[in-house]
Amino acid sequence: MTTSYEPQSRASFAALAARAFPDLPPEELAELERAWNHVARWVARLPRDLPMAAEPAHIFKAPERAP
Amino acid sequence: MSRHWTIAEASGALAKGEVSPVELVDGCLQRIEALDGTLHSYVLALPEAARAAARQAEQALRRGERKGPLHGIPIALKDIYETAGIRTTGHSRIRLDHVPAADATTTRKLAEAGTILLGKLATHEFAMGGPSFDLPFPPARNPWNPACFTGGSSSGSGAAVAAGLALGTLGSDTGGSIRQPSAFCGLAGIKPSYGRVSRAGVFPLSFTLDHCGPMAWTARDCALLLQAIAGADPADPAAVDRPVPDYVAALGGDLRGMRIGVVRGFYEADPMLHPEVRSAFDASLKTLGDLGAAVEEVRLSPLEDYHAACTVILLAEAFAIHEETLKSRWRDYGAYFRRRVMPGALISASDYVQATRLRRRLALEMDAALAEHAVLAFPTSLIPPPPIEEVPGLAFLERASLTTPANVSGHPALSVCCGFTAAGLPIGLQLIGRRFDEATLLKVGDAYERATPWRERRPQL
Repeated sequence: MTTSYEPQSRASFAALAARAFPDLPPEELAELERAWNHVARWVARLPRDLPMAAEPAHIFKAPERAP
Repeated sequence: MSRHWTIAEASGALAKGEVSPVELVDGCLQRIEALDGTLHSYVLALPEAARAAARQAEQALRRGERKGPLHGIPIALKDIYETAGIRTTGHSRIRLDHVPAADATTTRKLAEAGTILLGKLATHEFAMGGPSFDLPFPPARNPWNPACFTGGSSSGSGAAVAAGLALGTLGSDTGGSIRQPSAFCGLAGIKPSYGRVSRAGVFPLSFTLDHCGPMAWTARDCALLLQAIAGADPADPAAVDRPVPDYVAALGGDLRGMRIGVVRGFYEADPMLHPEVRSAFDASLKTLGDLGAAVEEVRLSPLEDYHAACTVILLAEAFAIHEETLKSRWRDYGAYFRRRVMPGALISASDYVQATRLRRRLALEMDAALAEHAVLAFPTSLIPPPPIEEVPGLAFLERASLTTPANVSGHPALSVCCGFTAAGLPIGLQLIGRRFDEATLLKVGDAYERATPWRERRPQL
């Protein structure tokens, strides 16, 4: 699957993490970064080139009733 | 020690007066007393309330007021199912004193069906963080070998059924949390279609991926439990108003004329695939063929695509649920939970939307595969249960899981026991069915169980 997405840089990770968790001590921040590095691989796998008509999955469909 | 009962066996014996609800409940309570100091499957046992309910159930039976096949059956619930007046913690310090005012819809439906609640079961923290040793309760242990992992997150649900500490349980499944512990504990467990069973009153992990469903010794027992909990619910906007078929009536017979698709691309080339899982799974395909099914190969997108969509959606939704407490009380969560969920804070809105767009494509792809095949098959897990200390802290963040595709697509998925390793650890066969066709899935699982000897073996405790 193609992707044009670039995972976040270390600097952008630090900025986002500081905004989300301003009081996190350094050791927890290091754990968060370790976990994020795994998540970033999955984020990078998401396609960014789907056609405009490719809708998201919806969950609130009208109830289906038996005929 | 009292004998092991399946729900179907106990139900038949209760109907004939060969056993009483009090005897069944006492049997489970004796096993809890004897074994749960090792297994830690319960975070809260309710012996007095269960005995009182059993006496009432017995009196009702004497009056000829049998509520149905689950009347007098002792069950237990994962501790994210709300129970009115009974502490419901999510196995977390965060909700250690939480006593709900009302039952979850599924809790209520099981009570109305006549089941008797034995207690609340261990889970990974909020169905996500475990097996952890830094929580208010210890992690559940695998009855086949207490040094081993139960699977999760419905860890206590798996351990309790395998050890005979309950005849059936409810688990929840966001990325495999019913099917993995069912496989690792040697049970049957079904994640129904998204919308088949109400989630109202069950502490959420991910709104669009969460499913509630039964775990029991056999597919037939799962059918009995699913019958009681399936159906629309005004309290759950996703619970679909569709007729609920008779799941038990659909069981029986062989699989002649059925096409089963094997998704080899999900597992065959994975270096993690354990040789004993491979041989047990291959043997299960031969059995399905012997039962009359045509077993054919099916190609889907790489497992990693399903896992990417699942992980991004799950983490974003889980973080939205826990954001306030993760920011204000992060120390009160276990390390596994916070390390797995905190990265959800860093997922962008665009990432989330792209994941849901991918999700739609994958769900349609699976629909197309299931238009040609009644059921898809692959192993529930690449490996048998590992030692509990060797479970990786970041778990599904690190590598793709065979259980996430059915959460992403919303199709029903069943795990049944398909054998044991030389060390006596269970192995799971996973089957995925068409939307809202749990009946066919259970029929295949039941036919497989009847054709194999695996339901005759119980953990030696």
